[in-house]
Amino acid sequence: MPELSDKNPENWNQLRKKIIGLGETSLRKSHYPAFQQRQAENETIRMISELFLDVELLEDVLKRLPQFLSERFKYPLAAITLINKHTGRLEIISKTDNFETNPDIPDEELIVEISSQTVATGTTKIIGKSSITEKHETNGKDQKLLRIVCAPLKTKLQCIGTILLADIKDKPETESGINTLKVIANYLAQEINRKQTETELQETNRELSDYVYIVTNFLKNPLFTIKGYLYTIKDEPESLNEHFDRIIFQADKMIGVLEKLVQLSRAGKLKLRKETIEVSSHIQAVFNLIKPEDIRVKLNIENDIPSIRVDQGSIIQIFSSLLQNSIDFADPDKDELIINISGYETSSRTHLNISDNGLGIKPAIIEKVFNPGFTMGKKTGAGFGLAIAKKLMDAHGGRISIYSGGEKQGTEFQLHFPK
Amino acid sequence: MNKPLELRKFVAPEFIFGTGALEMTGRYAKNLGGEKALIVTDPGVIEAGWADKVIASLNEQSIPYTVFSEVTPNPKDFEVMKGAEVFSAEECNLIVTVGGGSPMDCAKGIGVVSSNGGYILDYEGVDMISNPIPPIICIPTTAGTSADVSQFAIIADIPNKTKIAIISKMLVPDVALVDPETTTTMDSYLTACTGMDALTHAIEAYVSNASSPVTDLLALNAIRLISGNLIKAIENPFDLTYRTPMMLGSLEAGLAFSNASLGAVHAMAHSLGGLMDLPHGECNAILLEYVVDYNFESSAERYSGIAEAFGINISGISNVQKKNQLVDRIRTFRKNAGILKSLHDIGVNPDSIGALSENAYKDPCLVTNPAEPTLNDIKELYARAIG
Repeated sequence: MPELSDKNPENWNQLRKKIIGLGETSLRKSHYPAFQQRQAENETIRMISELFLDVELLEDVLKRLPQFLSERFKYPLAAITLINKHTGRLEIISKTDNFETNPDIPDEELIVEISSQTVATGTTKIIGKSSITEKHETNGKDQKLLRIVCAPLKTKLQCIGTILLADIKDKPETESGINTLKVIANYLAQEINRKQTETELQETNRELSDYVYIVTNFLKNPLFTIKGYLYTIKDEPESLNEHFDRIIFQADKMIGVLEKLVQLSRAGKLKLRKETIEVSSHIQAVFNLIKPEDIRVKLNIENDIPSIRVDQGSIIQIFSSLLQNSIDFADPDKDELIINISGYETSSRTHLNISDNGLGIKPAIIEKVFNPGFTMGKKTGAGFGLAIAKKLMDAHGGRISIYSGGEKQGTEFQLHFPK
Repeated sequence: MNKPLELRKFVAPEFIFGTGALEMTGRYAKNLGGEKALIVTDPGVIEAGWADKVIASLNEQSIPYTVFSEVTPNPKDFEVMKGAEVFSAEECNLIVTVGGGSPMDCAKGIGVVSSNGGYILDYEGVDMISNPIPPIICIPTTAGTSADVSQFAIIADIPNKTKIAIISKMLVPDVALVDPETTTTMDSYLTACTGMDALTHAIEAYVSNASSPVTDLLALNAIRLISGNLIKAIENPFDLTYRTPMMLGSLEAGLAFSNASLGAVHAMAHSLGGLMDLPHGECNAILLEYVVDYNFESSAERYSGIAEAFGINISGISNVQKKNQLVDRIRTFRKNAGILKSLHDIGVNPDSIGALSENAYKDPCLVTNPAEPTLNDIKELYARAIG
């Protein structure tokens, strides 16, 4: 407001005009309900964005979020589902703690089903008492749940999952509450999308620097060797025959590395054609192909290994890498190399174990075995086998891990496949 | 008599006038989407029983409520802040205020802070409120303040010992339930002071340089109603025959000043209320005749209209005579209403004139005063009113 004490006529006139009020900027009073809703939304978004600020990992945010939402909306139950990029199926990422201990609430199957419908239609789904009861009768439990609200997580391109709130009390859902949930869902979808893209970019960056490392270390040396021979031949053309095979050998080495590089690069991008595979026969077939002449190897395959759903070409490559690894690092002090294959399944995954009695791996370097070009002083190959195997497992939405008791204690690979 | 018409707007809330209007509180609270009401009132109004009537009406519609009554005359900044805390802690979404100007101004302040955050004094000035405030239902229990229809809220700035004016369309209540019956519990002195406040609103709005034909209509009629009924209302406190036109006069004066703004009397009274916590109506009553005397020449035609509304026969007399007759009439009217004190009698001494004048000089009400007083003019006016 203009200060009046200086008695500036211009200021007085300005203030008088403001009092008459034709240039007023205030909103209409009737905007109050909309304002209130916006304020509540802002407050919620602010709190959620704080969750994202506090923690580095997306997984941690998602783990905490249901509890946060359940408190914020006074719903006893909240869950987040996301589509698994590799399997294309919805998975429950996290849910409020009391989800499992409360007998009245929907089971995971129901959550996934409602979420799938929400993702399919892309619209918020509100399910009242009757439809829940109906669903529940098919489940054969005494369901008292009255209401589920499920909002899709939509990015610009696609629906990536859902937020779901469920209540066991009779709680009338206000329009503004549902709108706020939608706003949260939109925000969350963008954040998840952003974090995922960030992770993927980091991954690509890491791969790129791996490739640079490989090119400099595995291609430069043979190339220099070849150059050296060529200079010798130039000076002494008569030595051509002597050096010819050496040049071919080095060139083959380079071609081998390049082929592996191509494989590695394609491993993450190939279109997988999944089919149900019988494990023991495939392992046996791969083993027969690479079985060495110079050492005794005993392959024990358990009888009751469950079958897996994978891309056939990929699984042959994975088995081949792992068996080759065992053979390459067999313990020369032992009479024979023993490789044991076993497997079991849980509700969502199939697990395979491939263990041997070989040289084992020092704890200090166990982290690095899946890095491309990591060779551990091995004579054959360029150190790409395990890197390719890991990438192929990733592409399947699975996981590979390695354990070793230490030097001469053998090595165990565990493969986890989604069903 | 009008110059070519400048653009003018007129802002007024929905209002219901008449005996029994108070009983519509519950229905309006419901219509406005009230889920929980904050009732802003003061101990006097509670004692008179009007707060209970409001509660009964809310109960009829099953609307829960919380009562906030920590409001004193010349509502203070910290009282507003406390009320705003209660409003959000109790998760209210509607304000019902029953009482005189103090609870109503406090209620408006509570609304401003609850929607806009910050401190209430941040919103001093014209059109400074950006977010809409919660629905407000005003039930006046005095015939004078008119906060129930106005876009004004006057809050005491305790740190600076002054009063600030907040002027915004956002402060216009959603509905005013103007029930003359509520004024029957006022004692005679309060009736006199609030009545003189209403008269001041009407006079200052009529001579304001922001007036319009619509505010003129309301202001002149308010002067007629108040001058004709105040003394009788004081003499017959329970007779609605006089209370009703007084309430109507106050309402009309309120609609007029809310849109035309005020003048030097209010600027000076705000300063007295801020610096010395003196009752607003009483200050206005004492100051009015001195300011009319000072302003008359700058707007003789308008003041003549006021004299006519008072029933003074002005035909054929000079401007000076008109002025003297009008000032005399106002003085007599004040005395008949029982307001006999000077500013000196209510505790103002000449030492305060400097500070009082400086605060009054900054008050936005001064901008619409027909004359443009200097700081010295204001000092002289205070000196005369101190007596």
